[in-house]
Amino acid sequence: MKSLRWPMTVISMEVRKILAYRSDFWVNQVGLIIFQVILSYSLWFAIFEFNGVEKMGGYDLTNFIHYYLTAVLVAKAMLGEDIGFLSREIYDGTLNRFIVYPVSIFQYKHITYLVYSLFNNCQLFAIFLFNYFYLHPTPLSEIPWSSYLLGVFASLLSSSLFFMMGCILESIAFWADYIWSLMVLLRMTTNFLGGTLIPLTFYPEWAQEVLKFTPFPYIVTFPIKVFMNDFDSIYYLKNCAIICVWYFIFYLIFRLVWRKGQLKYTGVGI
Amino acid sequence: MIEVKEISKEFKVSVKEPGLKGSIKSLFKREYIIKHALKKVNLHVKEGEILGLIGSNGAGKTTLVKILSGIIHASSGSAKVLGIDPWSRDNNLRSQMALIMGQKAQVWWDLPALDSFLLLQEIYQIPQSVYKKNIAFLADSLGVKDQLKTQVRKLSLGERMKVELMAALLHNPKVVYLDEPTIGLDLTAQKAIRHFLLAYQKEFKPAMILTSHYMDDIEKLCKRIVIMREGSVVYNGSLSEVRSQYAPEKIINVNLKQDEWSFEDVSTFAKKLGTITSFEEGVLRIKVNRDEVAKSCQLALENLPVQDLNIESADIGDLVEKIMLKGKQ
Repeated sequence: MKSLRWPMTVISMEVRKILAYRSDFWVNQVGLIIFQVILSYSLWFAIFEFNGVEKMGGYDLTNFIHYYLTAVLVAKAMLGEDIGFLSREIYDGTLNRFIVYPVSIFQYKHITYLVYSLFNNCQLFAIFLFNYFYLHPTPLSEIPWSSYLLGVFASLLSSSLFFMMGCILESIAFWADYIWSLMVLLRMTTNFLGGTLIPLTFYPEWAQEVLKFTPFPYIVTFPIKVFMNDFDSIYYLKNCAIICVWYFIFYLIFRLVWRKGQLKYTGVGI
Repeated sequence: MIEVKEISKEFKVSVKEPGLKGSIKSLFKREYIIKHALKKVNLHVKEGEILGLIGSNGAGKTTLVKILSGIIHASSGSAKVLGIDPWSRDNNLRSQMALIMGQKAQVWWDLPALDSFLLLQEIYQIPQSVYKKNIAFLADSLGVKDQLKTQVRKLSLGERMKVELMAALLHNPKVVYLDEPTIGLDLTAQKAIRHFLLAYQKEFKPAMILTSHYMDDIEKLCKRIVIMREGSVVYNGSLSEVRSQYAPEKIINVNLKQDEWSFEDVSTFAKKLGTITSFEEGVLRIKVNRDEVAKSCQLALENLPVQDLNIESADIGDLVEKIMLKGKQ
């Protein structure tokens, strides 16, 4: 059991780190939620009113606001830790400490990433409560708690997949030193092709078919659908399985990149 | 405990011409140079020994430490630490090793040190009783008991370094690498850390490699030193040998009693003892052979109006510099 104790301590430590800065915590956890609610309501209310329509892409205004809020927060959960969770440490040499510890750097980083994802998932809980009380008695307020819990699991799975993709790009810092733009590009691509900005149903049929062969819809659209109770058990299990396959493929690529990159590592920095 | 054989390390470093033109050019074509950081280095460190690694900036000291701690790979050669190849990143080795880099933080800045220690306790699987005992010993020896609950980033540089030492030594490592542990610290903090390291070495007998630019660190802590220059070892031997080999003479400082001597008489006599390096305001400095120091002192006391006399050894820093420059000229 001893080998399980250090990951638990890492989780606890990361939570302590998040809680260390009080004002940042409240702004991030509460302030941003309020901002997102106001933003999405005003934005989509204006768009629906301007177009004079009741439904867009199969979504009415309430559903659209709900989708948009969920998408923004799922994307936030997917992003986990900030850009540079590996590349910054390679760049400034702080990776040294992880290399000398008798634990896996990959496991350590994965755990910390998921802690941040989990914290961001708490914001989805706030949206869930918002639906339950504010939108009552619309169909959205009828979303069962089980969907929320399954959504959290789906969100953590998709975060892990995004973490794995991020690890590969972050490891490029062994060669390129600075990879911030590359990570921004990955985030933008995932948001665009994953369904954060607009639902994938807005895209042409052929594009939706092509996207099924990429990891992006499984990272964003899948957890959104679960949180919105728009799924069945087959869909859920199938998507979980596809995420696992993608994860495994990216893990193999990461191992290769990491192994080669370590040979380039100089441990110097600021 | 630590065996290094013919270790070499080359780095490929990009270079850029200065100015805007150079920056634009480097966007399309980058030029590289090969830097030989280590050239066939050999050394060994025994259990309970502190080896001092000395050299000017860029001599290869930190590169060697990084190689031995498994952070970077050597280009050629072999190394064994506790019988294990450090690049294998074997957990058994890593759990018996510690690295302290004076210029790099190892503990988490956003949390109090005790929080970091709790994580290290789990990472190194330190039993609770040993953990408690070590925390008490280390905090007491380093005098940081009251600082352990303060966020690390709010500690002074000296306090932070002490906390770093605690974090690194919590698991009683058998091999310790100290890369400039006293850099930037005031004299009191430097002294405290030196005292602590000696006490720690006595108690736990780890093999230690210490790199430092402060000769006081080396003199107080190391019996054996390795001097490096441009990636090569130029001296590997005991500190006392450095003195006998590179400073075969000592200086006798003679303070003469006021008005009881004439410049000519004293100078004529002093020349018989050795070489006069200076003679000003009644203070005579004579350079004499190490073997003849006692005899010369006796003669000076018998024949000169001596008020006070002392013997000065050559400054170890000057000697090291002499060795470092020797092959360069």
